[in-house]
Amino acid sequence: MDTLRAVARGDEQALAALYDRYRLILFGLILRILHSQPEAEDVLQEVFIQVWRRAADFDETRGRPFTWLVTLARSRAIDRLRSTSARARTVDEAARAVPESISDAAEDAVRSEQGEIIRRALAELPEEQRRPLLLAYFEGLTQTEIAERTGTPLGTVKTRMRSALMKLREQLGGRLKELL
Amino acid sequence: MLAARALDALERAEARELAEHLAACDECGAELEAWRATVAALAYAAPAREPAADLRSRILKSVRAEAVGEKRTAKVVLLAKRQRARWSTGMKVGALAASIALIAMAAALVIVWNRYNSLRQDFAQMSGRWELAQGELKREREELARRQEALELMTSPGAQVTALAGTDLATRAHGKFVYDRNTGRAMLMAYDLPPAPDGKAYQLWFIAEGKPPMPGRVFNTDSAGRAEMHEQLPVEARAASVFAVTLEPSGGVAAPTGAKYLLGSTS
Repeated sequence: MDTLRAVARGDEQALAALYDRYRLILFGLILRILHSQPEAEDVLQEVFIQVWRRAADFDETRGRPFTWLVTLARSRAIDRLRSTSARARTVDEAARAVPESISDAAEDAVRSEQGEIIRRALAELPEEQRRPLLLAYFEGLTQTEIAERTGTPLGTVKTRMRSALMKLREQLGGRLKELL
Repeated sequence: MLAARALDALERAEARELAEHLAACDECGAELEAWRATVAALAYAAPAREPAADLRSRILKSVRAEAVGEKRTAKVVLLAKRQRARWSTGMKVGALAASIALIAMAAALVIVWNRYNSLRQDFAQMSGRWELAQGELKREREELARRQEALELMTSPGAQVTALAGTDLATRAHGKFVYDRNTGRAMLMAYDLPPAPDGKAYQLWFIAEGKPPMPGRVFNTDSAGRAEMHEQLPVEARAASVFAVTLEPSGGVAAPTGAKYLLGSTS
């Protein structure tokens, strides 16, 4: 919190500290959404520039810095996802291919305790609830789009999504504080 | 609905309606924030990854160039809070009638203040989006122009495309060199090249059998290690069958001195 306040005052070192602390989780999230290393790096840069410009807007009485940063990163990544999928991909198809292989080892190394908590909580959800949740979270689909994609009535999608989040919230319960 | 809003999964019209309600209802605002925290925790479901090592310095560099314009809003907030506090002490000492008037005024002030705050937030959000959209539009337009040029070149009757592979110095690097045998119009696309050190740049070479390498233009990569360079091939270089990219002094040289980073032949 103090770090964000310092960023709002124009303290570059505070921004660097935020970057050091959150880059792995934010970059992992953005990369998972965009599947492209260069695009994801571009978006991560945008996110921290946004943080620099908007740190004063952060309202500490309403939420935690982690929530704010993740919300910002996710929404920038999904905006990018939507604009790139609409764009023709003629020339640099090759550049987009994600080097999945190099990341496996790195992934194991940074497989964190928090990751385990979330993965376990997700594993507890029935597949029919987990799927719409992940489609919304990582692919940025709206409820209507999920209904179309999965051939499920919209009302059912809404109910399942809500149940999924409620269960997740219950499961995480007190542990949420450790995560954020 | 709040849960879906926290996931950004509402349709635009629904989201707009909800936003109107949220502006007036603090309780729902707090509830939304709680859902957002749950949703944010989902970020851990993605494996943490390390971005490129130079990204940190790139960010700090671009931030250094920005003006500090946000401080004024912070001052406005402080001033208004102090004003509100003064009203409440006034109420304690005032006569009944004055108190009632003060309560009404204070209430009005709170309402106006909340309204102002939410408008200010909306405005900040909108102008932020507008700025981003402008930047994006410009980038898209430039990209489109580049694509069109590349496409024209690639589909021209004399087009010759050579794939370039990274050498041991840059195993991830790759690229394409396209040229039109009839007009000499050429283009180099390179990906995942490491950033050239200060004072150095990449240079393209055309190599025809039995002749010394002919120098091409000098170029640099963008922050993602990409480069796109247009070139006009001299007539004598159109017989070249091998293309290479080396690291040279940034002004370029007449004969290659540095190590090869990309290499490809037309065979």
